[in-house]
Amino acid sequence: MGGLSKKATLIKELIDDPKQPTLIVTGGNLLFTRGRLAPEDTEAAKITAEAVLLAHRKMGAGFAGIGTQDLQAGLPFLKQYHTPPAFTWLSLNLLDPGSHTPLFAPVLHRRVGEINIAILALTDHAAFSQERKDVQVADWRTTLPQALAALDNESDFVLLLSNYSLSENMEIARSHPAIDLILQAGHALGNMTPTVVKNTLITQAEIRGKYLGVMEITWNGRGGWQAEGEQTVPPLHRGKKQATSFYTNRFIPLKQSLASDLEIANLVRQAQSRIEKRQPYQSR
Amino acid sequence: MNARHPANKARILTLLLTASIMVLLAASRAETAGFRLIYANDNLGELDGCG
Repeated sequence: MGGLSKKATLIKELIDDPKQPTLIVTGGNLLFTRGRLAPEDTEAAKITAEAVLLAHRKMGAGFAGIGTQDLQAGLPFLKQYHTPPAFTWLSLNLLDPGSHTPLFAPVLHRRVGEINIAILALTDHAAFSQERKDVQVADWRTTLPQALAALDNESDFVLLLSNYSLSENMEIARSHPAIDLILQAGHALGNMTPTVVKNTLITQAEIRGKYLGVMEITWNGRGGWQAEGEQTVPPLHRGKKQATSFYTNRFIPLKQSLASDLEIANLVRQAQSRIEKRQPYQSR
Repeated sequence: MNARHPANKARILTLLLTASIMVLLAASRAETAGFRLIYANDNLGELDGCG
């Protein structure tokens, strides 16, 4: 199960419906496997990461949240692929240790159909090695309130890509009802049924690209969430004038039986060939 | 003159009512919008499988 060429096929099928405006969202921890990269594996990992990134760009992903694993090959490696507006790396709490300003884009605005979406991303500071001198990952409590306050009134919908755990994300949702949806990345919980915490919907798909999440949203403003077809109105919003927004969510497995997208399959083959042909690592 | 007043009033009321309905319809269209998100969790450097 899995594979970028299968993922590309599925995305192409899903976005084929011109009636439904679509945003492709890439959470975080896109590029590298878990754990510290061994020096002998770095070159191959970089070739793989480049291919992963290029494949996602070809699939229509124009941005990604930065997970702690994405920094494995160093800051310069990540920075060379931060090329807005073609591709934007997002994190509002990954900071320059000297100036304490974000090293990448803290927020991105996208119009999807009739909706202006503000997209923010958080990197998990607790999972980050504090030994590094080139970056500082700040606690969300010190960076998120300012970022939300700075959003202009033209944002209809606030999407947070979070590298934090579910418990942290629930705390974020309780503290900041201005966030409409949190998509988690980087924690193994399996496919998570969307959960409403105060005003915010939280969900995540299975790790390692095994599934794609597809959420259809009927947005009526911040009057609370309700799953499409649910009969009950959440008690929190009963009696209020604001209309409820509705969603449906499904997780689609990337089965081996899916056809491969030829362009992405070719890109993957080229990367694999480069990895096989590279010079063996010389230990000193 | 007096006989024309009720007719004018009715026309104005009809116009106002029509305009109000159009404004309400436009507002409801602007506030309600559908869109789709396609999302995944971490990829962890996977090219051709899920590890």
